[in-house]
Amino acid sequence: MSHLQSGPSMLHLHQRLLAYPGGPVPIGQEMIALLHDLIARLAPAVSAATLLPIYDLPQWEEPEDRERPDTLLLMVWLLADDAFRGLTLYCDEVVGLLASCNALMDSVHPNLNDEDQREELIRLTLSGLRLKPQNETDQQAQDRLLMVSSSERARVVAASRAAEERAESIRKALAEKRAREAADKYTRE
Amino acid sequence: MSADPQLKHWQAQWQRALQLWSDHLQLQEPLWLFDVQAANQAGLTDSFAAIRLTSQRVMVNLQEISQRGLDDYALEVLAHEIGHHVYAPANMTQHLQLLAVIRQALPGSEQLAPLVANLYTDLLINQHLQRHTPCQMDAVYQRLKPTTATALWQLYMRIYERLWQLPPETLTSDPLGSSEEGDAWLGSRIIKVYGKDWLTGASRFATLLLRYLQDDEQGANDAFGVLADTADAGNGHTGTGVPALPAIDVLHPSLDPDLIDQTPSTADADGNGGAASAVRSAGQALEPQEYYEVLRAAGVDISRHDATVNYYRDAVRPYLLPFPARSTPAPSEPEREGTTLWEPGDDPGEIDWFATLLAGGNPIPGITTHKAVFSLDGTEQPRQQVCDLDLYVDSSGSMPNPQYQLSYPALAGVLLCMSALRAGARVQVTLWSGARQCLTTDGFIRDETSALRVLTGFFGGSTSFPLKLLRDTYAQPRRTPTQVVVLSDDGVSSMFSDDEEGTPGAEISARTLRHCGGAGHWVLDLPMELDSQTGHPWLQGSYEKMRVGRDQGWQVHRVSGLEPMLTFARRFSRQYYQANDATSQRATRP
Repeated sequence: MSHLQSGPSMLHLHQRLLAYPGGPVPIGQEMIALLHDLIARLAPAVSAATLLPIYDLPQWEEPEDRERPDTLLLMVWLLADDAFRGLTLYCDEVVGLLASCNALMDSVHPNLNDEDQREELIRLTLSGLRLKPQNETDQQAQDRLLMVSSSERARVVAASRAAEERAESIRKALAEKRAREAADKYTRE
Repeated sequence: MSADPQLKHWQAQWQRALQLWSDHLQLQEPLWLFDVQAANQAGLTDSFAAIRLTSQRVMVNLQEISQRGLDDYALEVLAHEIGHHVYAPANMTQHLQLLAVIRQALPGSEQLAPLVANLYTDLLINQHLQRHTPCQMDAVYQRLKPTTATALWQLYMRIYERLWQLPPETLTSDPLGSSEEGDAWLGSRIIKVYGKDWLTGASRFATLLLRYLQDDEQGANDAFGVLADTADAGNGHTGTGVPALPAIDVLHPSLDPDLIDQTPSTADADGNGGAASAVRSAGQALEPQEYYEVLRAAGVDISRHDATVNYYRDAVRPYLLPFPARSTPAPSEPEREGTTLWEPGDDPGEIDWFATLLAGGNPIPGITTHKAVFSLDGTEQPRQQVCDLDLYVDSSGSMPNPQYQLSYPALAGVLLCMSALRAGARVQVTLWSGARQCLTTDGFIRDETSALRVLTGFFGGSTSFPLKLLRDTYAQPRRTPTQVVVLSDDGVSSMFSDDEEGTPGAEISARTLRHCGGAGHWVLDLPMELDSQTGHPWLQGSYEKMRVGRDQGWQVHRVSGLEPMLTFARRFSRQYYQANDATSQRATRP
């Protein structure tokens, strides 16, 4: 039995992210208004108390680079797509996702030209709302989220690097041994 | 499936497979092979399909296809082979570059570069086909899944699973450990990130695989033999054109910021070598030895010596200059005097067919072919006369072996020879070292390859100038003015020993200068000037003899190190013969 609601297709959401319009990142009241509108649109039954966490977001600070969107803004852009209309979403989950999204990925400023980072952002968004991509099973959605997870990736890449370092030290030791043997042979001759 | 319906099915898919890459692609139909014998004759021994980049011909072993249960995957197999022609490696130049780049990233396992190149280009092509066409490449690999898989096979298949978001153990047999999962993720990143700059990706991919290859080389060869569709891709290639290598750092992908989206400083902070462990590959040209090994890795059937000839011929091409010519009076009008033998290497337009047919029988180049000889009458207008070249290259132990490393004496010699031959001169090339170590052309010739084969030989012995050859060549005055050039070091002093008949070398040397009609040049790698009285006492004897030669009229060009010999060769024409007539006369009549 499926526990996840079927959402938009991955292809559509990739295209949505690639169509991000750019421009200065909204801050302060402008950002709060954006979040309000989005939440009210996705989950109309929202209450003032549920919205409280979004006021804790550091949206009043001037970012270092106003041209680089962060995870929150990209997620807002993604969820504003018409493909999310008509889905049953819960306001506490939407607010919870938006309030925590900047800590979900390895990078606070995902690179939209990187397919893997787009994929991770989309899957994290869907997962946070208990959705799965169109035409995927629950298991597939979970497996694929794990595949693009930056925390999982950091773990396995660290293991790969450690294995390579071990192999490299063995290679160096062997090369030194061969060099010593060659020098010994040369000396004998 | 019987042969005919099977063949019709595959033939029907060929055009569709071409259109997956481009509507405008025109490639001849594959060579369909129906049994082991035919496959062996075509050179298709391990794999069920392959491509030859030289002939741009795809080959498919239909019997092997059936045995592996791939009858239903004609589109996938054919589109994949076309991908090697269209995408990677696409042509021989890129194939050779790819192999050279991979070899640099596989220290100690260079012999496995063809395997790695094949796996890597397969990944690039299959990723394109799976993502952008109806091809089901994953289904092909499911059919090829072995009962027992090596670690490298597991890694390779896991890369596909990650690229195509397949559930674990779709193509792999067992779950992988953390480090192997990390390697698989990095492998998939290489394909995604370096899809366009795929030579850099090749270097990263080879570095990623090195650990697996060193652990089980034989297992890797055995497991992937069936996929080796570019192992002999260079078959039929003539081996011309030395590829330039782009500057690529040899770096493990886990340290590549473009792959892991980390700045190098972040990687360092984790306690790893980061950029410090990168080996800078500075985009240098290949050495002759590497060039030969890359050609062999590409499946090119060529000898080391022929590869060396091609290497040097290609290396001097940017430097080619007109060969020195001497001013002589020009005739008011050429008058036909008779005929002489036309030899291969002469201009075919000069063949006098009437005289050739008069000689009887079928024309045999160089035997019965003749060309007209015209008298050069009149003295009013000067014209340029091409001097022949008599080149002596020192190949003693103090010189580098041109077949293994770049040899500047050989390079300078090749440049002089090719310039001379292009200008219409004849050349005599002699490679010399110790007594009875002398290789020479068959007199003065016009055949470039023969001359270059002599130049790219090597003895590496002691030093004894070939006085007998010098004596015989200049026993009589030469009819064509000849430039005599010796590329050597202090070993040239052996020219002043007695020859085998007891004739003093000084006498032969003086006669050479009298009879050559041109000039004699020594280009010598010497530690100090000829008149210097300092230096090792054991050199003083040699220097004394060389001073005798200079007094006789040899023009001594001292160079420090062998590299300036190439500079000499480039300057040779301009300095003495491309200036005004007065300069020319000084040069030819010192």
